[in-house]
Amino acid sequence: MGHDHGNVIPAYMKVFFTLCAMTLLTVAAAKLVHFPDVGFIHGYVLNITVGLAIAVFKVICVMYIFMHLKFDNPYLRFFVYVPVFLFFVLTFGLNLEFGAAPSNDHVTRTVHQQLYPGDHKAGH
Amino acid sequence: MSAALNLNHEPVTKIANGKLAMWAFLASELMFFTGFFGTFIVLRNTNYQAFFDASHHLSWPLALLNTFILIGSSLTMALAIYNLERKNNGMFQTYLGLTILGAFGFLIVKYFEYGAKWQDGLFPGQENHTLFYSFYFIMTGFHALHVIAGMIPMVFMLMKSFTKNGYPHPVKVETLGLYWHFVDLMWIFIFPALYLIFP
Repeated sequence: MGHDHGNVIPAYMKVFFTLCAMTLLTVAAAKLVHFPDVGFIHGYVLNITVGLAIAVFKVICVMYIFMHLKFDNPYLRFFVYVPVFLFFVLTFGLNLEFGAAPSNDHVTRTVHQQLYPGDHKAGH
Repeated sequence: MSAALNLNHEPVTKIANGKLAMWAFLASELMFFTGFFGTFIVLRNTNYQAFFDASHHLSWPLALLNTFILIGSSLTMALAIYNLERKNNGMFQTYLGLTILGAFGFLIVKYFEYGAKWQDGLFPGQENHTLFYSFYFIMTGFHALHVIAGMIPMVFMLMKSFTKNGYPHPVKVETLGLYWHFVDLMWIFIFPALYLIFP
């Protein structure tokens, strides 16, 4: 019982090139960009968060177009949303906790000093 | 006159049983990998220096190459399904063959990556092995096993497509396609988590 979704090739090609571009953007965000600290959140935590946010965008593209979630019965989405939501909550939550929670302050200080040896702001 | 019960799909949603089962399986697979990611993040946070040092032995350009290979193979898989649904057997064979080739290429790159780690003594049981590399080998190893597990039915379907009637089950290929895209999705997260998370 295959479903005919019309001519989906242009959509496939768009997703393919978007995924390639986003992959390069992920590498650039991780290797070239150093975000400044925003309030109590350290800059490198933003680097990680941006990388994960790009990954989330890529995952949505693949699920909706390549995996046909956009075209299939909407009931199917309930199967997908719950585990994906739990996965995102865990990865984002743990990463932000790393940069923001006072209990980890000694860890973030050490990390900040490794990344920015000349900057003593985080040490105080 | 009542319509006969069709056991090929779920009666209310009309979603094919195999497809529904694959989505349920993939949901459980996602939770399986979530355990790895969660543990990795927590242990990285509490062993930052060790993870920071160890991560610099990884080759992110090779991982980037593998990312492009998997994205390409996801596209060819989607195109294989598209062509089989339109009974275009020749194009189906071409795209499925390219997908298998992509999977094989991924494993070859992984072989070179693992080989370099072996030479540097970063394998379990070797002198330089650390907690970071336990995660590296478990996460990438399980992912590579998923790639191999996907290749087996793909080769079977490709061989069957060369018979007189071609491969007659588009839904089965579509179901396998879901699995293959999931393998791509997991790599989309493994790549930044292991190779790029340390600047």
